[in-house]
Amino acid sequence: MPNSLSAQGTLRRGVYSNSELGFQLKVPAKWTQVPTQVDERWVVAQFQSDMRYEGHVKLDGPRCRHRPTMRVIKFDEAVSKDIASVGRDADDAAVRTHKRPYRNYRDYVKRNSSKGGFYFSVEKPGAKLGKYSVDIYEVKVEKLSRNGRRHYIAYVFRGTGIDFAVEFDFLEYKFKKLKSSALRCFRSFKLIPRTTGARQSSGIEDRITGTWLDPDWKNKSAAERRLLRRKIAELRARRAIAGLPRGWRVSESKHFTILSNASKKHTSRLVKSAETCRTWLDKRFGAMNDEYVSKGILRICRNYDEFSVYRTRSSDAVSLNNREIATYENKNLGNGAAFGPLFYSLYTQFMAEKHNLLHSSTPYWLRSGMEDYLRSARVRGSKIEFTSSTYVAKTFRLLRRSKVEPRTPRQLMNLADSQFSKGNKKDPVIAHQLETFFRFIESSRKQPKILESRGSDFVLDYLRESMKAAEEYETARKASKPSSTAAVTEAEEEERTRQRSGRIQKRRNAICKAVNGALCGWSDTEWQSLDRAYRVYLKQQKYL
Amino acid sequence: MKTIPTCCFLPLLLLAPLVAQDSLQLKDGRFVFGKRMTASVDGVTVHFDNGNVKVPKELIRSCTARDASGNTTDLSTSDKDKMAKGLVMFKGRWVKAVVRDKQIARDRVASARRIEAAKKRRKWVNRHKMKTRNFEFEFTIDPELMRGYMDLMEVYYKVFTKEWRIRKPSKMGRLKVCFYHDRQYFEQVGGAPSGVIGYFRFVEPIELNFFYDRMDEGATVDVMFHEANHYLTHLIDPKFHYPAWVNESLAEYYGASSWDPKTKTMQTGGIQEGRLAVLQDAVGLNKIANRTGSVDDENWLGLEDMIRIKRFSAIHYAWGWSFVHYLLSTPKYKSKFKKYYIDLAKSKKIKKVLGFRAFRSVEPDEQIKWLKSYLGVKDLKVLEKEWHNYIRQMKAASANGYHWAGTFAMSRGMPIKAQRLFKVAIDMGSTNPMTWVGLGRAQHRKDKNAEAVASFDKAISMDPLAAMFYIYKARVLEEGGEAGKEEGKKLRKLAFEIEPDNDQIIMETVWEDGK
Repeated sequence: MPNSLSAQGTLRRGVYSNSELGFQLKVPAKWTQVPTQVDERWVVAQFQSDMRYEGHVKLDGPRCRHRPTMRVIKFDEAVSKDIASVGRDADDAAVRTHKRPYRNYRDYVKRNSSKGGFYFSVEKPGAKLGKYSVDIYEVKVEKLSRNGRRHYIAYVFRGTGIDFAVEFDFLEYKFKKLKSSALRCFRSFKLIPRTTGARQSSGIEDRITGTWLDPDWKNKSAAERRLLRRKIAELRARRAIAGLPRGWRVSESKHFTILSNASKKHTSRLVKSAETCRTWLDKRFGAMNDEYVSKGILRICRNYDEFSVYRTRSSDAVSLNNREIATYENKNLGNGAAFGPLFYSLYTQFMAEKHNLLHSSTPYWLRSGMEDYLRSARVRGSKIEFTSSTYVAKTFRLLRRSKVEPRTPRQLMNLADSQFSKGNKKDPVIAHQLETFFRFIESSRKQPKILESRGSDFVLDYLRESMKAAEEYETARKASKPSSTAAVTEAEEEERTRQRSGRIQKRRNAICKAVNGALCGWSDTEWQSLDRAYRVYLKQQKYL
Repeated sequence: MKTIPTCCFLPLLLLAPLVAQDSLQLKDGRFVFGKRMTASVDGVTVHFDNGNVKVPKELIRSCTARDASGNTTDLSTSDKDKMAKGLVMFKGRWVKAVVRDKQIARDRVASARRIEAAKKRRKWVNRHKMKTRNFEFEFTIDPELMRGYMDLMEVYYKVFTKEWRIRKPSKMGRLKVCFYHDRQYFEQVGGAPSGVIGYFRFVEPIELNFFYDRMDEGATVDVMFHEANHYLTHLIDPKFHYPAWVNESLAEYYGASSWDPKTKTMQTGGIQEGRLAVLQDAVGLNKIANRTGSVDDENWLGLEDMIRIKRFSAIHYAWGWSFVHYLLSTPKYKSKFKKYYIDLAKSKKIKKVLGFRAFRSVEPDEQIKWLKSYLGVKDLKVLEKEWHNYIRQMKAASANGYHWAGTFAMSRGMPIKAQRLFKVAIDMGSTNPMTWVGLGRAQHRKDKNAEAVASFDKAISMDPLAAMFYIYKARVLEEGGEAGKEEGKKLRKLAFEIEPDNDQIIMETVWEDGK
């Protein structure tokens, strides 16, 4: 069970105390607390120094900068032993759930380290620190280290039923200088009486899922599904708010719960952009089906360093119900560069909730075009604009110079999956051509006649048809599945292997073919008219 | 240094005081601690809580357990007289029992110290450090084992730099070589992502990292040759970054070199049989005889495509290796290709571009232009055709090649074919226990459970302390009713006892047990 709600501590006058877990310690001066993720079960609290240190130019790289970090990690004996549980499914059959909890700090480091190659340089179990018995560890991250060589120092204190690892993360280059601040902190550690048992969360989110993975999802009515997703979103928002350190601000907008530690100006600008994008997504793709898209959490960190500590989580701190987008204030970047990834995240979350097969089954030409289109989004005032990058123009310039004709709409819409990875100089970046083609479909005030004649909204119809084709493909695959007779000869075995190979590509190609068959069964003349319209568009953009 | 005594006689009554918690060190660097062990003439039996495991003498470097067994039937009259006087045979001499017991106790302490010291050295913080003329080695394996690799590296350095006329830039010191005792530790300390089996870091601090594969020492040497080749070609011009297709392919070519530790000589131009198996499968040459496959099975890679590939992946290594193998095995191209390779970095007439971290490189168009020029071919297609024809006539000729072909067939979900290939590898004298494991897994997939158990037993006899082998066997036995399930469960527990820190074993045993 995530700990955000169950074990909140307080930081007052440089002393962090957590009466529910029963410990307190001094945090180095001018260090600030960073929230932990909603699904985090191990890291109780984390802090970051306001001082930024530079690494060794030659050994750590010229751009290595790092703020020391401190984490308190708990190892609850009961949780560490809980590796399998047996429950019952809808048909009352026994279902065994396997977990892989961390056994101790050593195990945690081994399975969780992501900063590069590491080794334990000091291991002193059972050392004495005042009245406490502690295990001392030092870990060096040296080879292929990301953002400089690191030196971790950790003291593991034994509580009743719970061990607490207090860990500091320094640059190796600065370790000698900064070690004393860590030692002072270790010496201040105290076990205090636990006031109450850890509060239990309602547990609802541990049992339910608001995603398509729920086998019963489709049998629920739209209202039931909406209610369920709302419930989960509320619960997660409550947990996230409860886990916020001092100084963070909480606000609500139509589609988001906003948790911000950034400046008010940046927060309001970012929220406005996110709302505009989300409203556009609703307006543009909302009618695809009756699926409710949850309210998300928008977490805005003060800067990249804080964001970087926040997103460093234990490897099991994940949930299918997570609808949080974390970002940070970057004063060096403008609207486009900073918000493009945000819009893309909003888009992928939106689509995932609309249909689980959408991402994996939408024919590649449309998926690639849509994704790049979204990445190019910018918000001006209350409007969202999609501006193509200079790279696209460059691609067409290259084609012109090489005297290669851009692909026609027919060619683009029938590209096999494998062809996307075979770009070379003669056909430089297909993705740019696809983005341009999608821009052509979207940007005309009036859809090209040929597309208009197929329905009210070609893109929506195409997406709906993709979902339908994907479901049919899945049903057919399950029905035809195993040929019960196993291969007896090598020849049979080889034939089956051949059929199996490239399954994902085959699947996507089959879906593309089915959707094109259903929606684009145009005559040659009709294709030519679409091609003409597209070429006119390219000329308008000065691409031809 | 073997410490298994060769004494042959000891009254059984004397066994009792020798029962203790022993330790064992294998030649490949593994250890067993805290278990009771019994030594015998042909090995040591480790008494785990869930079964006894006999470790053959050939695998053992050191053990604290001392022998107590003997043969009383062929004793001479004088021997019997000495026995009557209370003497016992110990290390070929008749001594008093007290003397023998004291010596055994001393040996035990010495062995325990030696093993404990060796175990400590397996931690990177306590690693061994040694220097040779051109290299600086840091390693966690046994120094005796390492000595062979150190010689090999020096010989390789000499052979390659002489053949390619390379001189080390004067300011470059020794290359640091980091060698780990197993893959898991290599990934942890070396920071290598899963799937990588060695790497050469060509920016500061320049170093080479790879690990000792106890199941396949040949593979260890291959990786070492491959990665060291990156260093040696780096010496041509440390500011130049070779394109992946030519750099990795040449490294693969040298990776297949063979090494004779006795004469300390190396032979280049061997067949990378694992790569060949992958290639043959890609182009349909690995198919069973007399069957015509459809054309789309023959997935040949074009030469120009290979040169232009941006991400050079595992399959491309195989293609690249075969191309370089063709060029260096063909007299008309051999010296021309070598010149092309050197000149890519050195010649001023080949246009360079600046890449990452200010390394110079050559664009694909330029590479193609000069490849044609150096090799004297007008059209790449002609060269491509010759190369493809060369691949058609390459054959895997050793047990190792068939082992890899079998492994590849298994990974493609073809257990019938895999069985045939593994059997050929065994018939050709494969000494790799993984060949038997592969065969057992393939047999299990086709429900030949009795045969699979026999194959796993064979693998276990070759390496009785490989815990995963017991898991494979348990999986088969558990399909054989209640008795089988019980036996399987016991084997899983035994595997857990042998390797309690192995995550895969934990998953297979503790989870299975539901505790």
